[in-house]
Order: sequence, then structure tokens, then C-alpha cells
Amino acid sequence: MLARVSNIEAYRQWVNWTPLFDGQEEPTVEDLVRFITVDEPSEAMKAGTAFHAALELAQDGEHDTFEANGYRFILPDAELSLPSIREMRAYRKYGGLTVTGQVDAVEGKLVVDHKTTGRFDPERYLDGCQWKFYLDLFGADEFRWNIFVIKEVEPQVYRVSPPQTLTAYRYPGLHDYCANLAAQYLDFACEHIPSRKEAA
Amino acid sequence: MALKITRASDPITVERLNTVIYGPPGLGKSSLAFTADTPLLLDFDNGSHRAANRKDTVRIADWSDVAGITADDLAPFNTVIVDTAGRALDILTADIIRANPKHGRGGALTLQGYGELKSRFTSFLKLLNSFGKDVVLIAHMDEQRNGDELIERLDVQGGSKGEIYKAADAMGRLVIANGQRRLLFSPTDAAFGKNPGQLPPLDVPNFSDPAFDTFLASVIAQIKERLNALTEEQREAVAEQKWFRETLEHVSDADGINSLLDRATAGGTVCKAMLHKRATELGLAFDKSAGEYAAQHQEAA
Repeated sequence: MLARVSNIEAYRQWVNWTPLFDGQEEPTVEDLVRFITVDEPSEAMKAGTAFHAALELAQDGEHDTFEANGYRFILPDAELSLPSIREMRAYRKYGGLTVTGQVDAVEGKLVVDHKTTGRFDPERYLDGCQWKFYLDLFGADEFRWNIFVIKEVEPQVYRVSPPQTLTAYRYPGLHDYCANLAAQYLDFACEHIPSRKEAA
Repeated sequence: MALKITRASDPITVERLNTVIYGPPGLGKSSLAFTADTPLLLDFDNGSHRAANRKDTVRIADWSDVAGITADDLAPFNTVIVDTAGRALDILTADIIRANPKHGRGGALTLQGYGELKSRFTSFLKLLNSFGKDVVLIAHMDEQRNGDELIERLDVQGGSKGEIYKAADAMGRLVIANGQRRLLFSPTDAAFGKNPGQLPPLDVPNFSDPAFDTFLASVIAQIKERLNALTEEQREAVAEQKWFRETLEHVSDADGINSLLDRATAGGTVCKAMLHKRATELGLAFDKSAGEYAAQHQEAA
């Protein structure tokens, strides 16, 4: 079975779910299965995809705006150092599960991921399993997020804040953590997504 | 306004570190911090007198006590300790409200006030970094219960916590189990950590043990050593990936791809992925039985 890192993270969040406010409804198994199996990007995800598309093709130099997929991004006064190897996918087997993930850029043993968000919340990124899997998949030692807070100023036009950089590092036990979580995900997927060869 | 995009530059040698140490009250975080290399402790928490091994300390009652700190002030020291980061932010908060009462309401900061807190605290960290000293940020631990599990977080207010996560090169938590204090840098499901030194869980020596006197200095030195080894490995990995990027442009057939297979395998996942991508562009597929790339067979219509 094949699984995307993002789906394993969705599973991890589902297992560790805590309400953000009183009365928030707990997501069901069906909610998670739907998230994994049905491609229903939100407006924020579509904007994020567009920003990534623009950044992937961005050449060295100064840019006032990015445009992609019908979105326009008004860029900040800032400097961003980007590796030349962009958009790379890797695969790794964990028992019966092959995990795949695509990162935005790679340079040596450094993996770079761009994130767009409405609010800078580093704990959300550090807490997640994605950086751990990416380090394991790519045999890398350092993970760097470039986090862009974006705000919609008119439909499909976003103002982008200067990138905030957050880092995480490989640590002893990282591979075992990934293998354990992959095994849990595989058990879940076998039980709840039996008809799919690819939980992507 | 413009976003300037540049190529990633050469990795640099690590000469100084920002280390965050967090843990529950009363475990000896300040005492641990005093075992850093030639430390000066900025005592925002007014608790350094409890440290078993107190060294040079400046008690901070008002933000103006640190706002004008200079390189000359710190010349005799190799490590600056902020004890605690949370209390430093409280003192900075008071300073912000005093200077501009509109930034506070009922003793708490307004949204604008929080913006200023974040900005000024970031500037303070940058100032300390600019002196070329190691910086140790001490923080209390906030424990939140999630079912049966205790989630351990930094007990630091608002958006400034994000600045600490960003600034931290290494982050460890001080815990105690069966009477033994331990310093743990690896993250877990329930706790944050940054362990660039790849350090195992470290038993903190007893206060009376001579090994305790230089414990944190030794830990920070190990982390720097490991980071600098990584810098060397990083340079080699970057050079190999660059070689593949340039070489693959000129490869136009299966023989060319296959001649690079062993080198790509030795070069790691990224080199293998680059080779595979180029092979795919050339209409080749990997034949597992033959262990090499060959032209893809067209399926009959």
C-alpha cells in the first residue's frame, strides 16, 4: 500500500485530536477516510497550491508579485534563499507500507518546505510528523520551513508577509518513530480503506 | 516591495548556539545553566540565589537594565543566560505598557502591544546573538493534559514563544525520574525538542559531582562539534548533487544512465531521484530483474 506523508499526518492528528473550543465536534473515522480518499481542497489550500506553483518556478532576482492558477500574491520586502533542486519526491518502505512525500526544495542534507498559513503557529509544525518522515525519506539531517502568513485582500489576491524560518533536526529514534507511525497507519488503512491499493 | 530570491549559499561553521532549556520549576534549571562556559546570568526571575553553584549574575528588575547592554559589558563572558524567557517577556510587557499605555488594557497587552512585544524581544535576541556569545534561554514547562497523556510545552506568552522556537538551535527539557535528573533533546509525541547534536538522553550529574561544574558547557560543545561535522557532510552532499545535476543534462541514453547507477546509489536518495527523473525524461524505466534502466516497452493498443 502507498501512503502520502500528508495522509499519515492527518491520521496522527485524528488520533491525537483535542477540541480547540468547548463543544467542538470530534471528527469521525468517516471524516478521516473522506479526507484521505477524496480530493476536496479548501480555498486556503488552493491559494497555497498556487503560491507553491509560483515559488517553484521563481527565478533568482526581485519579485513584486507572483501569479499562478488565477491567484495573485503581493510580495513583501524580504530575502529568500532557495536551493536549486525543487519539487522532489521520495519513497521509502516501512514494512507493508510505502510512504511517499514531495518537498519543495532540497540542498544536500537540508530539506526545505514552504507553508502558507493565516497564523504563524510553530508548535503545529514541530508537533507534526511530516518533517520527521521527510528527513527519513530523503536521508536528510535538517528540515527548514519557510512559513508565509498570507491574508486575502480581495478575491484570489493575497498579501504575503515576510517568510519566517523554523528548523528541526534529525534525532536518534527518528526512523523508529516513523516506522511505528507507518505501522499504525497501515493497520488503520487496512481496516478502513480496504478497497484502495493507494491511500493517496 | 519586493521579494529577493537568491541561491542557497554555502553552509557556515557554527561558532555560537542558542540553546533552550525548559522544565518544571524546582528541578535546577538555573543551576544547570550556570554550568555553561563562563556564564553571565540575566536574572529576570529573581531566583538565581537558589542556584547551588551561583556565578556572575545581574538581577533584572526593569527592561532598561538590559536594553542598553553592550559588547563591552559581555566581554568577560562566553555564555549569556536569560532566566527565564517567560519572565523577561513579562518585564518587557510592563515596559511596553509604561511607555505607551494604549498598548495595555488591565495590565495585559493589546494586539498592537503583542506585536511590539514580539518585535522587541526578537531584537533583544538578535542583539545578544550579535555579540557572538552562546545564549541559553531558560523557560518553565507548561503541562497540558490530553486524555492520559501530559503534553509538555514552553510556558511563554503569546507570539514571542514562536520567536523562541525559531531562534532555538537546540532545545532540551530537564526532567526527573527515580531521583535522577535528565536532559532530553529529542522530541517525543508529547514534548518538543531539537537535537542537532544527536545526543542520547543525558544524566545530569549530582551538584556535588565535579562533572556537574562544566556539564552544560560540554553539552553545548558536543552540539557545535556535531553541527560542524554536519556542515562538512552538507558541503559534500551539495557538491555531489551539483555534479549529478550538471552531468545528467548531458546524458542522453540508457548506457549513460546505467553508468551512473552505482554513484547515484552511493550519493543517497536525492541523487537517485535525480537520476530516475532524468531516466524517465529519456523514456527509460528501471528493470528490477536486470538491475538497470532500459527503454520502456509500449503496451499494445
